[in-house]
Amino acid sequence: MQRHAKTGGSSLVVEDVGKTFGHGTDEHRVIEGLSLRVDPGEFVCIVGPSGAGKTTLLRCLSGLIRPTSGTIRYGDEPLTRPHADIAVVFQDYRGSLLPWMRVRDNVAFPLEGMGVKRAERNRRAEECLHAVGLADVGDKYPWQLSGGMQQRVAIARGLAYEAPVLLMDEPFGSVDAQSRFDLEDLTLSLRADLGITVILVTHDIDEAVYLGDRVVVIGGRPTTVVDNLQVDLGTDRDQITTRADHRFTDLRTRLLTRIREAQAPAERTPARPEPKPAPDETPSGGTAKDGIPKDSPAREKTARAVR
Amino acid sequence: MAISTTDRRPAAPDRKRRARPARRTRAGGPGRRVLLLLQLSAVLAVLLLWAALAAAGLVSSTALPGPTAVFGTFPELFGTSAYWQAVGDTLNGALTGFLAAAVIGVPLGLVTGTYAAAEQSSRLLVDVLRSFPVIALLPVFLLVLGSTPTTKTTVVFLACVFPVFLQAQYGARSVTPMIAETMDSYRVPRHLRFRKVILPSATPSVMTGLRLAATTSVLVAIGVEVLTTLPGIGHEVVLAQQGGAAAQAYAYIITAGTIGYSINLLSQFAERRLLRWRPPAHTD
Repeated sequence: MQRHAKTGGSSLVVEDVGKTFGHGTDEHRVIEGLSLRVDPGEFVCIVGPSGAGKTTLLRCLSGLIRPTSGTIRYGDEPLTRPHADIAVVFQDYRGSLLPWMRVRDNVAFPLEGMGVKRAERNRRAEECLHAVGLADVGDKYPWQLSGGMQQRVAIARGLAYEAPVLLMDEPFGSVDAQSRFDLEDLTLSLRADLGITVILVTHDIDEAVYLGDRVVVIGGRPTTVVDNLQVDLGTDRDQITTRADHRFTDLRTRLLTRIREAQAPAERTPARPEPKPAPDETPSGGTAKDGIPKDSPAREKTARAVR
Repeated sequence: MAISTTDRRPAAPDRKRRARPARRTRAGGPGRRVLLLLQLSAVLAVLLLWAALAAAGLVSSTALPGPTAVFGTFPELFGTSAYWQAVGDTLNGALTGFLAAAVIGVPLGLVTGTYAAAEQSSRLLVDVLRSFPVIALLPVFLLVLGSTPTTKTTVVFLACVFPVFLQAQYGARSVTPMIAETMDSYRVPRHLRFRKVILPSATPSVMTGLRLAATTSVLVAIGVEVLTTLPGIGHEVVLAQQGGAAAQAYAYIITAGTIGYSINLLSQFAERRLLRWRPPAHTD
């Protein structure tokens, strides 16, 4: 795929960032003293338990919200608002695609805002749809596609934007297991082909290890970086053999241990009131209360049965 | 009379109507043709009841003539210019007031809905203004504007502008935070966002407002005609009643009902055309 943007972009540097929501007695410190550096071309997975402020951190990285303290720099410039070099793929593909636009127009829409001509927009959109394996659905509406396909559209939109940095917020949390594996491999191959920087936030430790060159574990109250782990699994990864590799399981064990340690102190001191989760940290998508993934056939079946 | 139908809580865009036929057939209910047949027989049943009531003489024929007498006046009425003049006068007043309400209410609603500050600062004013019963203000308008078609149009406008405005405002606010955030992160400029995100997002709600207003406009126009001497269907009803021509009065009432029903059909058709992007069932 032909790309116009420089691959990899610049480094994203997070320095001593803190984020607080609310005021006075309602004040809730979500993140404190968090530092992180992502270099061009890296695939970094940020993993942490639910409610740890993963989404908050990602929104800070995308420039959608500003940290309360500390700085985030992209290259030499401070990141205070969304940047042309950074594309975001949200968890909620249903909510982030425009239902009144055909798939092709959805992918091309951000380009329209950049003043790209229609023919060029459509060409790029088709190219990106092809890259995510959706060459022939450009004329459909999002609701005509399955959940996994809609998330591919959202990824294609991110690619069409031609940003060297792709931020992904639990992008595969709401799709079924098979689609999830396919999307993970798709992301790996896109990154290999395009040389882009990917920062992916997830609560799934296996996914983080499988995808990342590096896994950053965040946790604690308030949240900070608790571990930073290089993943030495090479670039060729396979859903079956990589996951069975002892190095994979070793990394996984270490990460789980670190996350458990990070959670433990908060659980031992119940005297401290449990901070309310930030509004953006309400567990959405993924698994619903009853433990059935939102898009699984099982859920549809139960829903039908209830009806 | 449905004159102050402007509820603060905006009516949800009518989604069920379109979904109904599909769901029926899937659930093994009556098919489309059978459904139509059932609906028509319900209408027929009411007509028969009406005929029975009139024939039994429970109500005097001057108060309630039978359906044959009422429908029998139509051929004669269709031949008179007075009939068409009345229909034209009513439609003219209703349409002018409705269009003015749409032209002013929709853009104003969309803009104030887009900006939270504008919506909040205008709320008190709007709530106070829309609480005035329009018909009760009729004597004031008659005093100021006289018994002119402008009075009719103004009253129709006032009755229509609030539902239109509130539905448009509600529609503009219906852009989900998720979409707003996505548009922010892709740095979609404001004008493009208004045209291709807020506008389509608001369309279902705007259409509901316009449909409510379209029906209201005819109701209010006829109401004004009944209460004043302004020409139109409402005035003809009063004249026919006073002249003892009950059948003719009912014929005019049925005419008004037919107009209202046609407006509803038309707006449903327009809505379907504009909202083709929506999934057929539009649930979940």
